[in-house]
Amino acid sequence: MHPRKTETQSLWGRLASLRLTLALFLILAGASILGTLIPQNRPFQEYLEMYGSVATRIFKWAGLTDVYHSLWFMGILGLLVVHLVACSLQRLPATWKSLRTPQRPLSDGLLKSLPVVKRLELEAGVEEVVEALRGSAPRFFSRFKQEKIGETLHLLSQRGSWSRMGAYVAHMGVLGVLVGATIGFAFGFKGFVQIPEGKSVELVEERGSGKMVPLGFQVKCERFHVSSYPDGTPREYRSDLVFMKDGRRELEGALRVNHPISFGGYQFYQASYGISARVTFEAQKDSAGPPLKIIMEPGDTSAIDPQGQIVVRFLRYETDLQGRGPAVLLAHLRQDGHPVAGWVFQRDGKATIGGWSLKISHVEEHRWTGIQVKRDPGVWIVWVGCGLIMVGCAMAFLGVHRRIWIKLEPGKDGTHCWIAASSNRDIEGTKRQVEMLAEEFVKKGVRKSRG
Amino acid sequence: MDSTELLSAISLTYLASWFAYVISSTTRSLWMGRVASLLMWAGWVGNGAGFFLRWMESHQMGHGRIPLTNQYESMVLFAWATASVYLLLELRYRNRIIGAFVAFIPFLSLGLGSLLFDTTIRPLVPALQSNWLTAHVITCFLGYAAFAASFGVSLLYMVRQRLDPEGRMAKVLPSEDLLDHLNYRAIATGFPFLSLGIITGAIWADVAWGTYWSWDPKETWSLITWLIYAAFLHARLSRGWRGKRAAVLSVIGFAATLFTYFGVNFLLSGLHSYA
Repeated sequence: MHPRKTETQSLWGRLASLRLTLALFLILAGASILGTLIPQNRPFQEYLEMYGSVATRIFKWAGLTDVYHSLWFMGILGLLVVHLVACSLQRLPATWKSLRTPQRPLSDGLLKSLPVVKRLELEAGVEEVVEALRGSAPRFFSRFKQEKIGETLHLLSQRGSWSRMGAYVAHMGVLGVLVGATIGFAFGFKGFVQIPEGKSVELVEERGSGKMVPLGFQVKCERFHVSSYPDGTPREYRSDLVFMKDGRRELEGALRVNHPISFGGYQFYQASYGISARVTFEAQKDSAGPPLKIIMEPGDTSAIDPQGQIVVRFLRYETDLQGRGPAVLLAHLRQDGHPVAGWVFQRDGKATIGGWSLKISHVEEHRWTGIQVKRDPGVWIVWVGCGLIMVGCAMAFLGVHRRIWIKLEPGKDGTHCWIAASSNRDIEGTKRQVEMLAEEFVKKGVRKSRG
Repeated sequence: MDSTELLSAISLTYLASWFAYVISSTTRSLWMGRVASLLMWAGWVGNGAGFFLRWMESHQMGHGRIPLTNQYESMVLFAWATASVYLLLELRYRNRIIGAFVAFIPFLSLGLGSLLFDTTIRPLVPALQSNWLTAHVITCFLGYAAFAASFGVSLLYMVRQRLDPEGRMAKVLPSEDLLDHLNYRAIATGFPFLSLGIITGAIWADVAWGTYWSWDPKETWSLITWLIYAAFLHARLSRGWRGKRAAVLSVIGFAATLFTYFGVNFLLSGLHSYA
């Protein structure tokens, strides 16, 4: 796994270098920190107040007010993808080959390169030692392949070589997460909709663009419930929904937090709730004549005079403002072109707009439920990627690739014995295993008295 | 005695255990070392008892739920997880000196938890009513605990480097190689748990909010921590990044862990306002 000198000379080699790995990790970490220190996606005005005009302009230009969706951040993620592919393509063939080639018997050259080597002199002959070992620990012994070269017997064992594939599996997983996220970003949909109790909707506002997108079916909120524990902590938010297509009720269900509903290719999530109202106003000029009735809901714009010259907009409804009961925030464009806004209270209020007096004669409250709507064709790829990351981690961190070589060479008087081992991770454990093995050989290598 | 009182008493047990570890490693007293281990085990048992007692108390109040849902409860879990990881290390490597560098963490976590935060048992708000809660919190905190252990080991490594290699202390301390190896082992254990914690969190967020990743400060900082430890694990592939540099990276990683755990809650605002 060590990058070799020749690799680092080509561009491709550089793209697969360990140095780039570390640089990418640190740059991504640094960029992520920046995005948590500078508040993200706030209104322009807020940045001006916080940082002044020069810094705000620099931040906007450098994408620092939306780091995680800026071109340069995406560029770094793109480089990470290229890097992961380069690393895998460059190293996988060699790793795969080394896993497929059978373990070679212990040679002098190999002996020098191995990290754990133990040399023993045994009294007994080669066959005698092997027989004694086979008799005492047949299961352990069956792990070893035997190979005879001349008079010398080689015992070879290799376990856990699959653990070397763990890194590749985990890296595939990271690629999967990035690819899945990109697909979701490009082809997915995220939106939000408010449905008043008893009403149905078929358009959803797309997040970010604010576009109204047709679902192709209707969603009706029959009822919205809130329940609480005795201490006042909220216990459940629930919308009783009906999904309708061409006037047919296709699906009914209770939408709760942590229990989304799927219908027509979209997922629906309980997100928020609130109270709105249908308000009846009475407008009158100089207390003469019968009052004019106007019915409005939040967001509506309407004229309050028969000529249609004085226009107001219903901005917001509060069920109990400052303890003074229901109130409506109205906006109006004055004749000099200046917009004005003010609260009108139901209980004691009368507003005067353009010579007309306006009061609230009736309020019909209703609750609305706020529902998050999404479609994400990439999400399953993200989950597969996450699964691969975990499987790869388990392979790489739990498995140990360990090889053991035993060479038994008949000597003049007994057997020369070498025990050597290598391991990709757990050298301490491998040393312990070799020590135990050596003890066993010393015990079994004692010459039996020959009668 | 209710769970809060029991857990306050346990934090003092951890403190006593830490003192005993420090005394035993400076005086090389085996007897004191045994006292330290005994106190640590007592703390571990009591910490666990406090956790389950609190769970039972919530059931008696009529809204039973696993105690993993606010700052105080998370610190009880952090203390317990750190004590567990340390005791595993002690059993496996038969070395108590590391205790002097780790045992203060469960004490601080439990002690500060009950001093600084609200210990009232409250019922679960709708967002937290999910089976993913247990999996997400436990995996995250096992990761945090392993990182705490790697931090303690790295501190010991740095102390050891400053000592006279022929001195009395240097001979008692574990070798630099072993400490470096332990640092790696702890991080190689914590990293998969942190990964699993982030993944279970993403699955839960997808179920609750419809987005598996929203760059919320808690999410972002957990990713930053993950990136630092990923850098640590990859850097080990090159020889030059073992020893001192690895210890420094491990300390930086733990600082990021602490910021993910505490800093985000108190300094940055976001969706993850429970603990």
